[in-house]
Amino acid sequence: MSLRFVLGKLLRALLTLVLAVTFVFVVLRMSGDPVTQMLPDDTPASVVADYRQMWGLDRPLPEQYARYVAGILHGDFGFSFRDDRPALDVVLERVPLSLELGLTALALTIVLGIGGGILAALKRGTSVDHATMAMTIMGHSMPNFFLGILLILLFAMTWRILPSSGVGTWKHLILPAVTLGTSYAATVARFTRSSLLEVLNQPFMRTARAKGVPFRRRILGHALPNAGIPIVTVVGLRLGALIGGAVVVEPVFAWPGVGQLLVNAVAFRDLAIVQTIVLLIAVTMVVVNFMVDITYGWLDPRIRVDSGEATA
Amino acid sequence: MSNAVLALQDVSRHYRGKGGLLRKGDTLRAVDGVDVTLAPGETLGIVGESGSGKSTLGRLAAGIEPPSAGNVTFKGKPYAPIGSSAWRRQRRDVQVVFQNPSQALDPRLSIADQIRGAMEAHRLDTGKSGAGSLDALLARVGLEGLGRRYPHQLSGGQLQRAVIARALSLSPDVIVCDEAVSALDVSVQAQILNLLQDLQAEFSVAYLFISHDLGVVRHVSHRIAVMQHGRIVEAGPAGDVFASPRNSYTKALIAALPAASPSARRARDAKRRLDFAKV
Repeated sequence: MSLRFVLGKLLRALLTLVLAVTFVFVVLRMSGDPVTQMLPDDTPASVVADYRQMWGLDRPLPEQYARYVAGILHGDFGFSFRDDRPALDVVLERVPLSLELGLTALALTIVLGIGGGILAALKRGTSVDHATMAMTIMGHSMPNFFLGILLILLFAMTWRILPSSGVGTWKHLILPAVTLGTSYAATVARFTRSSLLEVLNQPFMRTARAKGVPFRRRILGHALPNAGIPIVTVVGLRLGALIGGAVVVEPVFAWPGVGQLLVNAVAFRDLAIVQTIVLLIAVTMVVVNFMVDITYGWLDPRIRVDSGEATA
Repeated sequence: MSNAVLALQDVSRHYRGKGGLLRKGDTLRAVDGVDVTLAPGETLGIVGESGSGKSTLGRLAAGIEPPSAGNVTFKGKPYAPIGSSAWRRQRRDVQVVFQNPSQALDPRLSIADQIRGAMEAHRLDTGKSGAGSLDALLARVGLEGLGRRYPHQLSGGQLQRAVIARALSLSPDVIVCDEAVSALDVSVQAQILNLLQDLQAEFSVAYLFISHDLGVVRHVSHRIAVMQHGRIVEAGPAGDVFASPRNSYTKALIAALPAASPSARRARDAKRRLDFAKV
């Protein structure tokens, strides 16, 4: 990997972050005044003005923005209006829970998605293939929260074998992780199947068979690595979104992760929290994208060798 | 021929239509009752136009497709059932070189790794390929020092050399060359054909050389079989088939060959006019 390649990536990453932060900053301030949102309707105008002044919201937008960016550079991400604590602390203490849920769900996605995709591709045209693809269509078309509510209804309400909400034991993890994991497994399965089928039809796969290369080796050594790029791309997207939590699933299961915090913070116009979460998601996305790019190079020598130009 | 390394006896391959290109119930006789033998170290050329069944014949000979009828024997023994581990081991003895070398190689692996992979599949010592070390083998096919290159970094001719090296690394008795030079430039074709001829004696390997290009086949073959509609319509020593073709289809194929030089073409055309006048 050339230095130019890395530098180019870093510059792009920085630009992405600046754009994300700026966009959120401006949009949040245009979409409503946090002070009127928080205080009762009959609050005297002078009190509102005091709060505005206290949080610096009375200053011109460019000045607020400059202060905000300067703060970030010093590690100050602002104060949560609601908790009256540094926003970064509030967000970071939620991260482990979101990661716990997200990683479990991702593991499920990978096992079900890639496993199902491989199975469908190898058994192309059979009932196994048709059944797998029918399930992925169902997974695509059923909204996340709906499956969540359905699972709660069955496992928590009707059969009473799993808790419906909250955190604590591994049992609390099962329903939200299944809800979150299966929804994306459908996408991964379809990508895996189609890209694997494409490779399986390549002449070099037939050549390998004609040379007496064993089946397992043909699939694991030649077919899957060649089919890997689309799979890595879709899994990477999911991995990048992990830290931001599950905006829909977390509230459904009362899972106190970043996703739930984000929903609440947006409703409450807790500017610093929303901005910090968006920045956190942007940073994670950038890091994961970089990892995905490196994986591309590992998967495909054509990208590796031309990395200076082709992928920059 | 009793000492034949590869023998096809009354071999047929029929495809039953399932409602695609072939109508349901229709049968395509891709290969229809063909007898072919290949002696150790010789080159048998198979010529014919597209759809004459010559590629199917190649796959039957290589054992990667089962015959519908008849026997394919290698050194007197039939191939094991396709997919069995015995069948897998037999793949070592008959190698295949296909038309498009850029697609016959895994784009992810270096040339040396591809050759090692083929050898490892047969548990061969990767230090001892057909020509000694792997480096020596690569040098022998004209790819000295290019083992660490990836397929996309090599030209078409170099890729076909790599494919040939990979086939030779398993020390096969037979290599089925199915349109092995058809995708290459004419100048590169000649280089690869000469390489194949040079390697034949060194590695004592027999070629089943399949091509639609009569000129190419004539250049490399000891014997030639002409295929049409799944059958062999004429067979014999290469010189005889060209000098005095008996079958009208063979004559037509030979007549369609481009002449080597303008003077040769004028001579040929004059002879044709004369022949026509006689009729």
